[in-house]
Amino acid sequence: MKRRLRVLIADDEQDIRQGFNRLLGKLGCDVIGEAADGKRLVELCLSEKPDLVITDIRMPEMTGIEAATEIVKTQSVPFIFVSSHERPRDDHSGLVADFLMKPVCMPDLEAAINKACPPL
Amino acid sequence: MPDRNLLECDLRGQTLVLKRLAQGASLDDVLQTLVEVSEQTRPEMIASILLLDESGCLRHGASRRLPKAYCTAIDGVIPGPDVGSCGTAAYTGKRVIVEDIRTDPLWNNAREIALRFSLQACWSEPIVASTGDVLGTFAMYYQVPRAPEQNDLDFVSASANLAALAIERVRYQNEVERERAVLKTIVNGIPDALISCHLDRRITHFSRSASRVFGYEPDEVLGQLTTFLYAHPDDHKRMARERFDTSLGEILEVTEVLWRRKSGETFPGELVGTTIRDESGNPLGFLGLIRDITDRKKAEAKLAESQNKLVQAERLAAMGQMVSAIAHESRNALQRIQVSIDVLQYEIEPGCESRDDLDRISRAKADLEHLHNELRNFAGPIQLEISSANLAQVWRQAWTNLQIARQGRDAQLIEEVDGINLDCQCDAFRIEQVFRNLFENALAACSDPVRVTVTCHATVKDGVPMLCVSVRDNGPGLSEDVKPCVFEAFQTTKAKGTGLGMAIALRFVEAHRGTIEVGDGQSTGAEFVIELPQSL
Repeated sequence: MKRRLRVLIADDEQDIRQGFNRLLGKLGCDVIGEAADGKRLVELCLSEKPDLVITDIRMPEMTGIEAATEIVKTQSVPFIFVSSHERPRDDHSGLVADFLMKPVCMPDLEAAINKACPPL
Repeated sequence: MPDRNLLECDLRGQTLVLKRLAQGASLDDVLQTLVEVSEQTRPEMIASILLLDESGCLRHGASRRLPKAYCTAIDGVIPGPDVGSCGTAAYTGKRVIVEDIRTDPLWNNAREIALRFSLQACWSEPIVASTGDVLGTFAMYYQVPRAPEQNDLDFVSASANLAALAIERVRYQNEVERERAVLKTIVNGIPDALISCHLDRRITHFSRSASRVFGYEPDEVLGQLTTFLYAHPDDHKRMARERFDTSLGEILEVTEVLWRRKSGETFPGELVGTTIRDESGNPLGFLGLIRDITDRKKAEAKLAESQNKLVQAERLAAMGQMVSAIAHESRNALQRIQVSIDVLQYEIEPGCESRDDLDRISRAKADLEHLHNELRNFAGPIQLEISSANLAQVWRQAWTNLQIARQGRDAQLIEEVDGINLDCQCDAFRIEQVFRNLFENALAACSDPVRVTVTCHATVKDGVPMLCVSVRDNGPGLSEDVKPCVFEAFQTTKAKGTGLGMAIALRFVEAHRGTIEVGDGQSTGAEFVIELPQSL
């Protein structure tokens, strides 16, 4: 049986986190933690060691990109960024597995997950 | 000579002088004639005319029999109370009769020279202008002492009057000619076309600048009505009411009129038109000054265009700020709707009423998202993602993506591309959107069967290789009202839609340093021509 992906999600809006949480379940992923800001995301990554991170960019305390920059110092994990804004100009290609603009629908999300973590 | 004969001779002589004057002879010529006719009627008499110059000296005016050396000797004499006959007459303004130079005290200072030339009597009459100013003297010398008779006195006075008339008349004429010369220099120096005409508006003068501006030589237009200079005959009539009417006062206000050159070309010109009047105010004709303002108009249009562009750019920048300001909140809200729809789609089975409601929510969300994307494309930041693409594949993809819109319709894409290399460096996604917009508009405007024809050729613009793509349909075409504002934002002929489609197309093409324009109207349907550089 296929191993379920262990995913961390980060977004400052609870409704979105909750929605993604339920959707990811249907896409065969386990959401192992939710962060409302970048700092919490870094902590959760350290403790939970996820297979994939899906994060908003603009969040309090620390942006998604700052958090990712911090996280990749200690572990290798793909990031899917989901944002209301244009793709940032700076080249974060080393971090970004994919960049999706909100609103993201399920087929897009599924495609991005499959690209970031190809099924074995 | 009997008195009557003498009088007749005098009159004949005076007539000859007047005739020379009327013929426009020079002052020297007229005065010389006066001397000659005087000496003819009075053979013993020697006539002399002296003229006062500006510095107040008496100068030689005319003489025939007066010895040259004597003339030279008295030239430049300054009038005074006792300076011979002429100097005294010019000084006092009164006739001086010296019957015997040998004894008369007025000649004390000049007696010797007069006697050397055997001049013994001299009667001098001042030449007095109508203003009362002394202009010179008319003198009669005799080689023997002599007293004048009445007819001599009449003669000297008549001759002086005639000389005054001649001098004043010629000086006036010189003045007029000088004024004419000044006027002519002014007229020729004016860059505006200067045209004068009779009261019936037939041309009497056509200045050098008028020839330059209108292209006609004066002999082609003199005597013609001015009608042909106007681009619209109605303006000729209108000017008759507004400017060229003798009952109007002086109007110096500029009015703009469209004119026609000899070449047939028309041009905008400013007209100052007025009635020419003599000093008593009687109308003599009309005068028109026309300034060609083509260049100014062009400059104004350019300025207006760049100002307009500036305003547009500012508006766009303001919109861009607004779009990004609302992006965060509205896209998060859309995301909340989206996740809820996605979740509910798992839970609500297709076919039931609730599922229909969900689909309606989903469509409304899609419309909102579409609007948001349009605003972002129109006013948000643009970052092109350039890659090598085949332009035909790009437009085919756009056509394929419109499959749903084409469902149930007879619509065909016709390509007329002969062996052209369609490889092009561009943001394929953005250019696809440009084609998609054109195709969508064609599908909306045309009734079946819809035929969209894409033709392409290679061209070079300012040394840059370009691909020129024409997209035309078989619909009703663009109306003349719509053509000029096709690319303006919020312009739409459709009942639904933001009216941003073509503005976005223009923005995307310009971001590629290309152009998109309405075709020249050779096809009946709408045609758009896109030019894109092959490499960026």
